[in-house]
Amino acid sequence: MYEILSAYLENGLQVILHKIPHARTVSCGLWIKQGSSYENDQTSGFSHLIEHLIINNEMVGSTDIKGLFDEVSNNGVIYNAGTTKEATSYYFSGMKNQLPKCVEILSKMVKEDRTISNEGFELEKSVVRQEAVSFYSSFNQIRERSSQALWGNTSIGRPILGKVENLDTVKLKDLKEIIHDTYVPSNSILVVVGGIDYENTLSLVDQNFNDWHDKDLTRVFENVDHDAGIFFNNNKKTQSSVFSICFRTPSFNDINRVNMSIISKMIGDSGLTSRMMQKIRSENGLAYQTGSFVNFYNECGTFGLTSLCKHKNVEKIIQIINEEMMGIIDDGFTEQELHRSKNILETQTLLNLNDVEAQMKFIAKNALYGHMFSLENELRMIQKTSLNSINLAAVNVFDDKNVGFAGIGDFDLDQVVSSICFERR
Amino acid sequence: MAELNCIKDDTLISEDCELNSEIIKGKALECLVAIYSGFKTVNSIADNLGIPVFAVKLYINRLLDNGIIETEKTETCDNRKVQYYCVSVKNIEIINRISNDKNSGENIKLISSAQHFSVITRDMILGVGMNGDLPHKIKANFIRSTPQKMEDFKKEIEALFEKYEELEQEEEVTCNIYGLVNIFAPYNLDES
Repeated sequence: MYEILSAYLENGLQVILHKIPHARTVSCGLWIKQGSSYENDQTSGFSHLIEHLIINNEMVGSTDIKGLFDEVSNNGVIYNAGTTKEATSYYFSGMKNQLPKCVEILSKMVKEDRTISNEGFELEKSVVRQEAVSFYSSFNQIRERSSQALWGNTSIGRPILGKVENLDTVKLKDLKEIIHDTYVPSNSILVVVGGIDYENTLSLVDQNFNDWHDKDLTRVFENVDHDAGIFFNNNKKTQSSVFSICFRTPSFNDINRVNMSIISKMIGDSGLTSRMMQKIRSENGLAYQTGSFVNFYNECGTFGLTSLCKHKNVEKIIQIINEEMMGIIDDGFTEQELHRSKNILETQTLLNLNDVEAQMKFIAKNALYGHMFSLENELRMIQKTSLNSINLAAVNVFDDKNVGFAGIGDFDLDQVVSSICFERR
Repeated sequence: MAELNCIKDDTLISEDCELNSEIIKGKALECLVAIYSGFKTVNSIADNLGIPVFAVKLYINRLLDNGIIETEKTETCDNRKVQYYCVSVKNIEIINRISNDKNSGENIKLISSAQHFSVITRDMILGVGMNGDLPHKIKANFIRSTPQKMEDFKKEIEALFEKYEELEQEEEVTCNIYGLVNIFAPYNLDES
């Protein structure tokens, strides 16, 4: 039995509570449906900068928020924030007696018209700029570049950290405008997980958030590119190249989400048993880092096969991947692969939800997509998956119309492009 | 320590500038021919050529960057942006007279077995893109006719070539080099 309470305050704020009996800790967080996919060329990166400012205790309001931050910190509360393509989150984790203060801070963070000195604003911009430069100088960006390749420089294709150049011109009033337009109760979800009592917690949330007035939501909406494409940066001064053969996949709520997650494990799990690890690393020694990833969003998803390797190995690895993918399309996966990957996914799902903060994040992510998370339901969906549905999902996704390519490094793009083709034999 | 040079801009395809002179390599010429023939979207070009859409986007990007094609219009279909392309240089023309056939489009293929012919053609089309103000004409025309009529026409082409060769002015310093490439041949006989 897995119990979740979902309720709405009169102002439209969705509240989700999950009690874990005997837990001594608690996590609470607020998710605002504002991320990089709701930006445009001029505001690309602003959602992330807003996150930095809102969680910054130097941002002063009408009450002493800094004092509250100091108080909970002194009592062992850990807080943080995050920005994704579709949401910005602020969350606190600590002993359960700290919950009232944490909920109070969360409410003040979004209700009060807070401001920051010019010096403080410039400092935070500098921090964000350094974070962006660090990210865009790393091989880790290949996932974001895969989204760019698949969906274009628009909507879900926009990198979360956005355009560095926008940080040079952004004004505080630009950010306040976005906060005013999107930080509204009916565009937000509050989640509390841990050693809580439903009635008291709901009452606590209501006391703190009922005077957060709802407003008309004004949000940027962009269309994605009709066709998947390419991201390529000819970066000759690197020691290695990194690339991703990526595919457009169904969305978070699609019945094939679990199928694609299992397929990702079968093809590119970091354990040495996956197809990519076997063929690319164990049998040919062509790359140390190679694997797959999946990301699901409200309207779509991204699946990628990546490798970080010597420049000269790129073409060979791509040939191997293409050959493997053609084999999957023609012959499908084996029962043994499916059995192993389902167990890996089940184990990882349980391990990932081993603390209250992780559970809160997962519940929030599901709620963002209008989905009530149940651990049992998720595990049941993994275990009931059949080889037939997996193979069907693979054929539907691994198609010439869905495939894109992202690459950074020094290799022959034309040669690579001509090697990738998933037409059924 | 940085793993690579920071990629600050969001340009989708950043290639070495030396590649500019090689824009018609790969399937770019086929994409160009497909656009001439009325296949204006990435999806329709990919279907026509039997290659993945992401590959077509690469070649389209190169043709756009070099001013050979341009975006004619952008439409929205199922919350997705669909771009329609057209040739920038209006005097380049490839006419498919048999496009009314039930297999219209599917049979259009550029078959260039002689590699040097394809390279010369490619460079000349590139030349038109860069010197659109100088006299030029690129035209392909597919018709159905009898061997006898085509034999007569061949003689006229030969006469035209002789006339063209007489136009050479070696001593004139203001001259530019022009090329006349002609391929007059049966087309897709096996599929007709």
